[in-house]
Amino acid sequence: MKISTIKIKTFLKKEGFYNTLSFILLVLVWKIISLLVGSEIIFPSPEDTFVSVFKLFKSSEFFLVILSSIKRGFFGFLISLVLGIIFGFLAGFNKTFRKIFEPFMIVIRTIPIIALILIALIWFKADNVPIFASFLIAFPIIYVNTVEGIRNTDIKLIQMSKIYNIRKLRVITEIYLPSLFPFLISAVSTAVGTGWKVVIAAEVLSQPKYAIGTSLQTSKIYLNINDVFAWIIIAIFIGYIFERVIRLIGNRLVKWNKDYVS
Amino acid sequence: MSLKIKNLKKVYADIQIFNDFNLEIEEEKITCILGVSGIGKTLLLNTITGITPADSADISDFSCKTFSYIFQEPRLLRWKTVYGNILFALKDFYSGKEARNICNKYIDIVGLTKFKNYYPAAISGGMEQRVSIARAFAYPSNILLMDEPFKSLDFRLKKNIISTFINLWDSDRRTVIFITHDIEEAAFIGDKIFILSNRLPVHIKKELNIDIPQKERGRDNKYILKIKKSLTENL
Repeated sequence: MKISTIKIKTFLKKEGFYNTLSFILLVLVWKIISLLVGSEIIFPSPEDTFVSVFKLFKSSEFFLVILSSIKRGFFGFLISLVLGIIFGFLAGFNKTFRKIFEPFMIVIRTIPIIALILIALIWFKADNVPIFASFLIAFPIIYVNTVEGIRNTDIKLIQMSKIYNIRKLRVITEIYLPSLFPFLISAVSTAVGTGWKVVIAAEVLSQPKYAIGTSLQTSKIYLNINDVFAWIIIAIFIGYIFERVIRLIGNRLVKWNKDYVS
Repeated sequence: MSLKIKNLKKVYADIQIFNDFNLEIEEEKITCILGVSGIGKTLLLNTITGITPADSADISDFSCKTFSYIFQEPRLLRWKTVYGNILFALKDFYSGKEARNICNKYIDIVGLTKFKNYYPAAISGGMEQRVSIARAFAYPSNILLMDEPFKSLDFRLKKNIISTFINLWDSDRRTVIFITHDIEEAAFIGDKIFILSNRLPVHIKKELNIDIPQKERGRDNKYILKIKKSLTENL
Protein backbone atom coordinates (compact mmCIF):
# COMPACT_ATOMS: atom_id res chain seq x y z
CA MET A 1 0.00 0.00 0.00
CA LYS A 2 2.71 2.39 1.09
CA ILE A 3 4.90 1.48 -1.86
CA SER A 4 2.07 1.94 -4.34
CA THR A 5 1.22 5.39 -2.97
CA ILE A 6 4.85 6.41 -3.23
CA LYS A 7 4.98 5.01 -6.74
CA ILE A 8 1.90 6.96 -7.78
CA LYS A 9 3.28 10.09 -6.17
CA THR A 10 6.63 9.85 -7.95
CA PHE A 11 4.81 9.03 -11.14
CA LEU A 12 2.65 12.11 -10.84
CA LYS A 13 5.64 14.17 -9.92
CA LYS A 14 7.83 12.90 -12.71
CA GLU A 15 5.72 11.89 -15.67
CA GLY A 16 2.41 13.60 -15.21
CA PHE A 17 3.60 16.88 -13.80
CA TYR A 18 6.34 17.63 -16.29
CA ASN A 19 4.33 16.35 -19.23
CA THR A 20 1.42 18.58 -18.36
CA LEU A 21 3.70 21.52 -17.74
CA SER A 22 5.51 21.17 -21.05
CA PHE A 23 2.21 20.69 -22.88
CA ILE A 24 0.77 23.86 -21.36
CA LEU A 25 3.95 25.73 -22.24
CA LEU A 26 3.75 24.50 -25.82
CA VAL A 27 0.15 25.63 -26.25
CA LEU A 28 1.03 28.95 -24.60
CA VAL A 29 3.91 29.60 -27.01
CA TRP A 30 1.61 28.65 -29.87
CA LYS A 31 -1.06 31.06 -28.64
CA ILE A 32 1.45 33.90 -28.25
CA ILE A 33 2.81 33.39 -31.77
CA SER A 34 -0.69 33.31 -33.24
CA LEU A 35 -1.48 36.59 -31.40
CA LEU A 36 1.74 38.17 -32.66
CA VAL A 37 1.05 37.08 -36.23
CA GLY A 38 -2.49 38.30 -35.74
CA SER A 39 -3.99 36.57 -38.76
CA GLU A 40 -6.19 33.50 -38.53
CA ILE A 41 -5.50 32.75 -42.20
CA ILE A 42 -1.75 32.47 -41.72
CA PHE A 43 -1.33 31.15 -38.18
CA PRO A 44 -4.45 29.85 -36.47
CA SER A 45 -4.75 29.88 -32.70
CA PRO A 46 -4.70 26.65 -30.65
CA GLU A 47 -8.41 26.85 -29.81
CA ASP A 48 -9.43 27.21 -33.47
CA THR A 49 -7.17 24.32 -34.41
CA PHE A 50 -8.65 22.09 -31.72
CA VAL A 51 -12.14 22.95 -32.92
CA SER A 52 -11.03 21.86 -36.41
CA VAL A 53 -9.57 18.63 -35.01
CA PHE A 54 -12.88 17.94 -33.34
CA LYS A 55 -14.81 18.63 -36.56
CA LEU A 56 -12.52 16.34 -38.55
CA PHE A 57 -12.86 13.70 -35.89
CA LYS A 58 -16.62 13.73 -36.35
CA SER A 59 -16.51 13.58 -40.15
CA SER A 60 -17.49 10.25 -41.70
CA GLU A 61 -14.21 9.55 -43.45
CA PHE A 62 -11.90 10.46 -40.61
CA PHE A 63 -11.06 6.96 -39.40
CA LEU A 64 -10.75 5.65 -42.92
CA VAL A 65 -8.21 8.39 -43.65
CA ILE A 66 -6.04 7.88 -40.59
CA LEU A 67 -6.26 4.07 -40.70
CA SER A 68 -5.18 4.12 -44.35
CA SER A 69 -2.13 6.18 -43.48
CA ILE A 70 -1.33 4.07 -40.42
CA LYS A 71 -1.63 0.94 -42.55
CA ARG A 72 0.90 2.30 -45.04
CA GLY A 73 3.28 3.27 -42.26
CA PHE A 74 2.87 -0.12 -40.65
CA PHE A 75 3.55 -2.12 -43.82
CA GLY A 76 6.55 0.04 -44.74
CA PHE A 77 7.92 -0.50 -41.26
CA LEU A 78 7.18 -4.23 -41.18
CA ILE A 79 8.96 -4.85 -44.48
CA SER A 80 11.92 -2.76 -43.26
CA LEU A 81 12.08 -4.67 -40.00
CA VAL A 82 12.02 -8.14 -41.55
CA LEU A 83 14.41 -7.37 -44.42
CA GLY A 84 16.61 -5.15 -42.24
CA ILE A 85 17.09 -7.97 -39.73
CA ILE A 86 17.66 -10.64 -42.40
CA PHE A 87 20.17 -8.54 -44.36
CA GLY A 88 21.69 -7.31 -41.10
CA PHE A 89 22.29 -10.88 -39.97
CA LEU A 90 23.88 -11.80 -43.31
CA ALA A 91 26.14 -8.75 -43.22
CA GLY A 92 26.91 -9.17 -39.54
CA PHE A 93 28.16 -12.71 -40.06
CA ASN A 94 29.71 -12.32 -43.48
CA LYS A 95 32.28 -9.63 -44.24
CA THR A 96 32.12 -10.20 -48.01
CA PHE A 97 28.37 -9.69 -48.01
CA ARG A 98 28.78 -6.54 -45.93
CA LYS A 99 31.36 -5.11 -48.33
CA ILE A 100 29.30 -5.94 -51.42
CA PHE A 101 26.18 -4.50 -49.88
CA GLU A 102 27.87 -1.29 -48.70
CA PRO A 103 27.54 0.75 -51.97
CA PHE A 104 23.81 -0.08 -52.13
CA MET A 105 23.42 1.16 -48.59
CA ILE A 106 25.30 4.38 -49.37
CA VAL A 107 22.96 5.05 -52.28
CA ILE A 108 19.84 4.30 -50.24
CA ARG A 109 21.03 6.38 -47.31
CA THR A 110 22.12 9.46 -49.25
CA ILE A 111 19.46 9.74 -51.97
CA PRO A 112 17.23 12.79 -51.33
CA ILE A 113 13.87 11.64 -49.97
CA ILE A 114 11.96 13.78 -52.41
CA ALA A 115 13.83 12.26 -55.40
CA LEU A 116 12.95 8.86 -54.08
CA ILE A 117 9.27 9.74 -53.84
CA LEU A 118 9.30 11.10 -57.40
CA ILE A 119 10.79 7.87 -58.72
CA ALA A 120 8.30 5.85 -56.72
CA LEU A 121 5.47 7.88 -58.28
CA ILE A 122 6.52 6.59 -61.67
CA TRP A 123 6.90 2.99 -60.54
CA PHE A 124 4.05 2.35 -58.14
CA LYS A 125 0.34 2.87 -57.60
CA ALA A 126 -0.51 5.93 -55.50
CA ASP A 127 -1.41 3.73 -52.53
CA ASN A 128 1.97 2.04 -52.48
CA VAL A 129 4.29 5.01 -53.00
CA PRO A 130 4.30 5.91 -49.28
CA ILE A 131 5.02 2.30 -48.32
CA PHE A 132 8.00 2.16 -50.66
CA ALA A 133 9.33 5.54 -49.51
CA SER A 134 9.08 4.70 -45.81
CA PHE A 135 10.68 1.32 -46.46
CA LEU A 136 13.73 2.93 -48.05
CA ILE A 137 14.05 5.31 -45.12
CA ALA A 138 13.53 2.76 -42.34
CA PHE A 139 15.39 -0.20 -43.83
CA PRO A 140 18.93 1.25 -43.52
CA ILE A 141 18.30 2.22 -39.90
CA ILE A 142 17.25 -1.32 -38.96
CA TYR A 143 19.99 -2.85 -41.09
CA VAL A 144 22.84 -0.78 -39.64
CA ASN A 145 21.76 -1.42 -36.07
CA THR A 146 21.33 -5.14 -36.65
CA VAL A 147 24.85 -5.38 -38.08
CA GLU A 148 26.15 -3.40 -35.12
CA GLY A 149 24.27 -5.65 -32.69
CA ILE A 150 25.55 -8.85 -34.27
CA ARG A 151 29.11 -7.61 -34.21
CA ASN A 152 28.75 -6.59 -30.59
CA THR A 153 27.42 -9.96 -29.46
CA ASP A 154 29.65 -11.26 -26.69
CA ILE A 155 32.08 -13.73 -28.28
CA LYS A 156 32.48 -15.38 -24.87
CA LEU A 157 28.83 -16.43 -24.93
CA ILE A 158 29.28 -17.88 -28.40
CA GLN A 159 32.29 -19.88 -27.17
CA MET A 160 30.20 -21.11 -24.26
CA SER A 161 27.46 -22.25 -26.65
CA LYS A 162 30.07 -24.11 -28.72
CA ILE A 163 31.38 -25.97 -25.67
CA TYR A 164 27.84 -27.00 -24.78
CA ASN A 165 27.09 -28.06 -28.38
CA ILE A 166 24.07 -25.78 -28.72
CA ARG A 167 22.36 -26.07 -32.10
CA LYS A 168 23.05 -23.25 -34.61
CA LEU A 169 19.43 -22.17 -34.85
CA ARG A 170 19.19 -21.89 -31.07
CA VAL A 171 22.40 -19.86 -30.95
CA ILE A 172 20.76 -17.41 -33.34
CA THR A 173 17.39 -17.22 -31.59
CA GLU A 174 18.62 -17.44 -28.00
CA ILE A 175 21.94 -15.55 -28.12
CA TYR A 176 22.22 -13.30 -31.16
CA LEU A 177 18.62 -12.12 -31.28
CA PRO A 178 18.31 -11.12 -27.60
CA SER A 179 21.74 -9.44 -27.77
CA LEU A 180 20.28 -7.39 -30.58
CA PHE A 181 17.25 -6.08 -28.70
CA PRO A 182 18.87 -3.10 -26.98
CA PHE A 183 20.27 -1.99 -30.36
CA LEU A 184 17.02 -2.65 -32.19
CA ILE A 185 14.74 -0.82 -29.79
CA SER A 186 16.29 2.58 -30.43
CA ALA A 187 16.58 1.76 -34.13
CA VAL A 188 12.93 0.76 -34.38
CA SER A 189 11.84 3.87 -32.54
CA THR A 190 13.81 6.09 -34.96
CA ALA A 191 12.69 4.07 -37.99
CA VAL A 192 9.01 4.34 -37.09
CA GLY A 193 9.23 8.07 -36.39
CA THR A 194 11.08 8.91 -39.59
CA GLY A 195 9.03 6.42 -41.60
CA TRP A 196 5.79 8.01 -40.45
CA LYS A 197 6.92 11.49 -41.56
CA VAL A 198 7.95 10.12 -44.96
CA VAL A 199 4.62 8.31 -45.38
CA ILE A 200 2.77 11.58 -45.02
CA ALA A 201 5.19 13.46 -47.30
CA ALA A 202 4.77 10.77 -49.95
CA GLU A 203 0.99 10.90 -49.58
CA VAL A 204 1.01 14.64 -50.26
CA LEU A 205 2.66 13.93 -53.60
CA SER A 206 1.06 10.62 -54.59
CA GLN A 207 -2.48 11.54 -53.46
CA PRO A 208 -4.03 8.20 -52.50
CA LYS A 209 -7.82 8.41 -52.11
CA TYR A 210 -7.75 8.18 -48.31
CA ALA A 211 -4.65 9.59 -46.62
CA ILE A 212 -3.54 12.19 -44.09
CA GLY A 213 -1.15 13.57 -46.73
CA THR A 214 -3.97 13.90 -49.27
CA SER A 215 -6.18 15.62 -46.69
CA LEU A 216 -3.35 18.02 -45.87
CA GLN A 217 -2.88 18.88 -49.53
CA THR A 218 -6.61 19.35 -50.11
CA SER A 219 -6.92 21.64 -47.09
CA LYS A 220 -3.98 23.65 -48.38
CA ILE A 221 -5.51 24.02 -51.85
CA TYR A 222 -8.71 25.40 -50.31
CA LEU A 223 -6.60 27.68 -48.12
CA ASN A 224 -8.15 26.07 -45.08
CA ILE A 225 -5.24 26.67 -42.73
CA ASN A 226 -7.20 25.52 -39.68
CA ASP A 227 -7.56 22.07 -41.20
CA VAL A 228 -3.90 22.01 -42.24
CA PHE A 229 -2.94 22.66 -38.63
CA ALA A 230 -5.51 20.15 -37.43
CA TRP A 231 -4.09 17.39 -39.63
CA ILE A 232 -0.58 18.22 -38.47
CA ILE A 233 -1.74 17.87 -34.86
CA ILE A 234 -3.35 14.53 -35.67
CA ALA A 235 -0.19 13.29 -37.43
CA ILE A 236 1.97 14.33 -34.46
CA PHE A 237 -0.39 12.64 -32.03
CA ILE A 238 -0.34 9.35 -33.98
CA GLY A 239 3.46 9.49 -34.26
CA TYR A 240 3.67 10.05 -30.52
CA ILE A 241 1.42 7.08 -29.79
CA PHE A 242 3.60 4.90 -32.03
CA GLU A 243 6.68 5.93 -30.11
CA ARG A 244 5.08 5.18 -26.74
CA VAL A 245 3.87 1.76 -27.84
CA ILE A 246 7.32 0.85 -29.15
CA ARG A 247 8.98 1.97 -25.92
CA LEU A 248 6.52 -0.12 -23.97
CA ILE A 249 7.11 -3.25 -26.06
CA GLY A 250 10.84 -2.57 -25.99
CA ASN A 251 10.98 -2.33 -22.22
CA ARG A 252 9.04 -5.56 -21.97
CA LEU A 253 11.54 -7.31 -24.24
CA VAL A 254 14.57 -6.20 -22.26
CA LYS A 255 13.15 -6.36 -18.77
CA TRP A 256 16.14 -8.56 -17.93
CA ASN A 257 18.45 -5.65 -18.52
CA LYS A 258 18.55 -3.46 -15.47
CA ASP A 259 20.90 -1.02 -17.15
CA TYR A 260 18.44 -0.38 -19.92
CA VAL A 261 16.71 2.92 -19.30
CA SER A 262 13.89 4.01 -21.53
CA MET B 1 42.26 -45.24 -17.50
CA SER B 2 43.84 -42.03 -18.64
CA LEU B 3 43.57 -39.52 -21.46
CA LYS B 4 46.75 -38.43 -23.19
CA ILE B 5 47.84 -35.24 -24.84
CA LYS B 6 50.88 -36.07 -26.96
CA ASN B 7 53.37 -33.82 -28.78
CA LEU B 8 51.29 -30.68 -28.56
CA LYS B 9 52.72 -27.89 -30.68
CA LYS B 10 51.27 -24.40 -30.78
CA VAL B 11 52.52 -21.01 -31.82
CA TYR B 12 50.31 -18.22 -30.52
CA ALA B 13 50.86 -14.54 -31.34
CA ASP B 14 54.25 -15.46 -32.84
CA ILE B 15 55.39 -17.14 -29.64
CA GLN B 16 56.07 -20.83 -29.36
CA ILE B 17 53.89 -21.68 -26.37
CA PHE B 18 53.89 -25.46 -26.64
CA ASN B 19 56.62 -27.55 -28.21
CA ASP B 20 56.20 -31.29 -27.82
CA PHE B 21 54.14 -30.83 -24.69
CA ASN B 22 52.83 -34.04 -23.12
CA LEU B 23 50.23 -34.54 -20.43
CA GLU B 24 48.32 -37.46 -19.02
CA ILE B 25 44.92 -36.88 -17.44
CA GLU B 26 43.54 -39.53 -15.14
CA GLU B 27 39.83 -40.19 -15.59
CA GLU B 28 37.38 -39.44 -12.81
CA LYS B 29 40.03 -37.52 -10.92
CA ILE B 30 40.71 -33.84 -10.55
CA THR B 31 43.86 -32.92 -12.38
CA CYS B 32 45.13 -29.54 -11.39
CA ILE B 33 47.38 -27.55 -13.67
CA LEU B 34 49.25 -24.94 -11.70
CA GLY B 35 51.21 -22.20 -13.39
CA VAL B 36 51.94 -18.50 -13.40
CA SER B 37 49.79 -16.10 -15.41
CA GLY B 38 50.31 -15.87 -19.15
CA ILE B 39 51.96 -19.24 -19.50
CA GLY B 40 49.27 -20.69 -21.77
CA LYS B 41 46.99 -22.45 -19.31
CA THR B 42 43.77 -21.26 -20.93
CA LEU B 43 45.27 -22.00 -24.34
CA LEU B 44 45.86 -25.57 -23.23
CA LEU B 45 42.15 -26.02 -22.43
CA ASN B 46 41.17 -24.33 -25.69
CA THR B 47 43.32 -26.71 -27.74
CA ILE B 48 41.70 -29.65 -25.95
CA THR B 49 38.17 -28.44 -26.76
CA GLY B 50 39.12 -27.22 -30.22
CA ILE B 51 38.18 -23.56 -29.60
CA THR B 52 41.76 -22.79 -30.63
CA PRO B 53 43.10 -25.70 -32.67
CA ALA B 54 46.68 -26.85 -32.01
CA ASP B 55 49.28 -26.59 -34.76
CA SER B 56 49.85 -30.29 -34.29
CA ALA B 57 49.01 -32.72 -31.52
CA ASP B 58 47.75 -36.17 -30.80
CA ILE B 59 44.68 -35.57 -28.68
CA SER B 60 42.58 -38.38 -30.10
CA ASP B 61 41.70 -39.51 -26.56
CA PHE B 62 39.57 -36.37 -26.30
CA SER B 63 37.99 -36.45 -29.73
CA CYS B 64 34.81 -38.27 -28.80
CA LYS B 65 34.38 -36.65 -25.39
CA THR B 66 31.87 -34.00 -24.45
CA PHE B 67 32.93 -31.07 -22.29
CA SER B 68 31.44 -28.72 -19.83
CA TYR B 69 33.32 -25.64 -18.82
CA ILE B 70 33.39 -23.36 -15.82
CA PHE B 71 34.90 -20.14 -17.06
CA GLN B 72 36.65 -17.37 -15.16
CA GLU B 73 33.50 -15.30 -15.62
CA PRO B 74 30.07 -16.90 -15.23
CA ARG B 75 29.17 -16.37 -18.91
CA LEU B 76 25.44 -16.42 -18.33
CA LEU B 77 22.83 -15.19 -20.76
CA ARG B 78 21.54 -11.96 -19.22
CA TRP B 79 18.11 -12.43 -20.83
CA LYS B 80 17.54 -15.79 -19.19
CA THR B 81 16.80 -16.53 -15.56
CA VAL B 82 18.94 -18.78 -13.36
CA TYR B 83 16.68 -21.65 -14.39
CA GLY B 84 16.65 -20.63 -18.05
CA ASN B 85 20.43 -20.48 -18.18
CA ILE B 86 20.80 -24.06 -17.03
CA LEU B 87 17.95 -25.28 -19.20
CA PHE B 88 19.68 -23.59 -22.16
CA ALA B 89 22.52 -26.13 -22.01
CA LEU B 90 20.22 -29.14 -21.58
CA LYS B 91 17.44 -28.58 -24.12
CA ASP B 92 19.20 -30.37 -27.00
CA PHE B 93 19.90 -33.49 -24.92
CA TYR B 94 16.89 -34.22 -22.79
CA SER B 95 13.16 -34.28 -23.20
CA GLY B 96 11.30 -31.36 -21.67
CA LYS B 97 10.35 -33.01 -18.42
CA GLU B 98 13.72 -34.64 -17.87
CA ALA B 99 15.52 -31.37 -18.54
CA ARG B 100 13.29 -29.53 -16.08
CA ASN B 101 13.94 -32.09 -13.36
CA ILE B 102 17.70 -31.94 -13.85
CA CYS B 103 17.61 -28.13 -13.75
CA ASN B 104 15.71 -28.09 -10.50
CA LYS B 105 17.98 -30.70 -8.97
CA TYR B 106 21.18 -28.76 -9.63
CA ILE B 107 19.70 -25.39 -8.73
CA ASP B 108 18.80 -26.98 -5.42
CA ILE B 109 22.29 -28.43 -4.89
CA VAL B 110 23.99 -25.08 -5.41
CA GLY B 111 21.44 -23.48 -3.06
CA LEU B 112 19.70 -21.15 -5.49
CA THR B 113 16.14 -22.51 -5.40
CA LYS B 114 14.83 -19.20 -4.08
CA PHE B 115 16.55 -17.36 -6.92
CA LYS B 116 15.47 -19.72 -9.66
CA ASN B 117 13.48 -17.08 -11.52
CA TYR B 118 15.94 -14.21 -11.06
CA TYR B 119 17.84 -12.67 -13.93
CA PRO B 120 21.64 -12.53 -13.62
CA ALA B 121 21.51 -8.73 -13.21
CA ALA B 122 19.57 -9.24 -9.99
CA ILE B 123 21.92 -11.71 -8.25
CA SER B 124 25.48 -11.37 -6.94
CA GLY B 125 28.66 -12.39 -8.75
CA GLY B 126 29.13 -15.37 -6.42
CA MET B 127 25.61 -16.58 -7.17
CA GLU B 128 26.23 -16.20 -10.87
CA GLN B 129 29.30 -18.40 -10.57
CA ARG B 130 27.17 -20.99 -8.74
CA VAL B 131 24.80 -21.00 -11.69
CA SER B 132 27.77 -21.54 -13.98
CA ILE B 133 28.87 -24.50 -11.82
CA ALA B 134 25.36 -25.94 -11.77
CA ARG B 135 25.18 -25.63 -15.56
CA ALA B 136 28.50 -27.45 -15.95
CA PHE B 137 27.39 -30.38 -13.77
CA ALA B 138 23.86 -30.52 -15.15
CA TYR B 139 25.24 -30.88 -18.65
CA PRO B 140 25.95 -34.51 -19.62
CA SER B 141 29.69 -34.13 -20.14
CA ASN B 142 32.58 -36.59 -19.84
CA ILE B 143 35.11 -33.94 -18.94
CA LEU B 144 34.76 -30.83 -16.87
CA LEU B 145 37.17 -28.01 -17.61
CA MET B 146 37.71 -25.24 -15.11
CA ASP B 147 39.63 -22.08 -15.91
CA GLU B 148 40.32 -20.25 -12.62
CA PRO B 149 36.62 -20.07 -11.79
CA PHE B 150 37.23 -18.85 -8.23
CA LYS B 151 39.62 -16.08 -9.20
CA SER B 152 37.36 -13.07 -8.79
CA LEU B 153 35.70 -14.17 -5.55
CA ASP B 154 36.61 -12.92 -2.08
CA PHE B 155 38.06 -15.30 0.50
CA ARG B 156 34.86 -16.38 2.30
CA LEU B 157 32.86 -16.73 -0.87
CA LYS B 158 35.64 -18.72 -2.47
CA LYS B 159 35.74 -21.18 0.42
CA ASN B 160 32.01 -21.52 0.24
CA ILE B 161 31.82 -22.12 -3.48
CA ILE B 162 34.77 -24.50 -3.48
CA SER B 163 32.98 -26.68 -0.94
CA THR B 164 29.81 -26.58 -3.08
CA PHE B 165 31.94 -27.71 -5.99
CA ILE B 166 33.59 -30.52 -3.99
CA ASN B 167 30.20 -31.78 -2.81
CA LEU B 168 28.86 -31.81 -6.33
CA TRP B 169 31.90 -33.55 -7.71
CA ASP B 170 31.88 -36.11 -4.93
CA SER B 171 28.36 -37.20 -5.84
CA ASP B 172 28.96 -37.06 -9.58
CA ARG B 173 32.59 -37.90 -10.35
CA ARG B 174 33.86 -36.65 -13.65
CA THR B 175 37.24 -36.14 -15.17
CA VAL B 176 38.17 -32.62 -14.17
CA ILE B 177 40.94 -30.47 -15.55
CA PHE B 178 41.33 -27.53 -13.24
CA ILE B 179 43.55 -24.61 -14.08
CA THR B 180 44.83 -22.18 -11.50
CA HIS B 181 47.73 -20.02 -10.40
CA ASP B 182 46.60 -20.29 -6.77
CA ILE B 183 48.54 -22.76 -4.60
CA GLU B 184 45.82 -22.94 -1.96
CA GLU B 185 43.13 -23.88 -4.50
CA ALA B 186 45.40 -26.49 -6.05
CA ALA B 187 46.14 -28.09 -2.68
CA PHE B 188 42.45 -28.22 -1.70
CA ILE B 189 41.02 -29.45 -4.95
CA GLY B 190 43.55 -31.44 -6.96
CA ASP B 191 44.06 -35.22 -6.86
CA LYS B 192 47.05 -34.69 -9.04
CA ILE B 193 48.91 -31.43 -9.55
CA PHE B 194 51.12 -30.57 -12.48
CA ILE B 195 53.32 -27.54 -12.03
CA LEU B 196 54.12 -25.76 -15.27
CA SER B 197 57.45 -24.11 -15.99
CA ASN B 198 57.78 -20.33 -15.83
CA ARG B 199 59.44 -20.17 -19.19
CA LEU B 200 58.14 -20.74 -22.72
CA PRO B 201 57.77 -23.12 -24.37
CA VAL B 202 55.93 -24.66 -21.46
CA HIS B 203 56.90 -27.96 -19.94
CA ILE B 204 55.89 -29.77 -16.77
CA LYS B 205 58.29 -28.95 -14.00
CA LYS B 206 56.93 -31.25 -11.35
CA GLU B 207 53.99 -33.50 -10.59
CA LEU B 208 52.48 -34.28 -7.24
CA ASN B 209 49.79 -36.65 -6.02
CA ILE B 210 47.51 -35.88 -3.11
CA ASP B 211 46.11 -39.08 -1.69
CA ILE B 212 43.60 -37.85 0.86
CA PRO B 213 40.00 -37.08 -0.19
CA GLN B 214 39.12 -33.41 -0.71
CA LYS B 215 36.60 -33.38 2.12
CA GLU B 216 39.25 -34.27 4.69
CA ARG B 217 41.66 -31.55 3.68
CA GLY B 218 41.66 -29.01 6.48
CA ARG B 219 43.57 -25.76 6.55
CA ASP B 220 45.98 -27.08 9.20
CA ASN B 221 46.20 -30.65 7.95
CA LYS B 222 49.94 -31.45 8.16
CA TYR B 223 49.98 -33.29 4.87
CA ILE B 224 48.31 -30.40 3.03
CA LEU B 225 50.71 -27.92 4.61
CA LYS B 226 53.57 -30.02 3.30
CA ILE B 227 52.03 -30.11 -0.18
CA LYS B 228 51.58 -26.36 -0.12
CA LYS B 229 55.20 -25.86 0.88
CA SER B 230 56.35 -28.10 -1.92
CA LEU B 231 54.12 -26.24 -4.43
CA THR B 232 55.47 -22.88 -3.27
CA GLU B 233 59.03 -24.06 -3.73
CA ASN B 234 58.38 -25.35 -7.21
CA LEU B 235 56.10 -22.70 -8.73
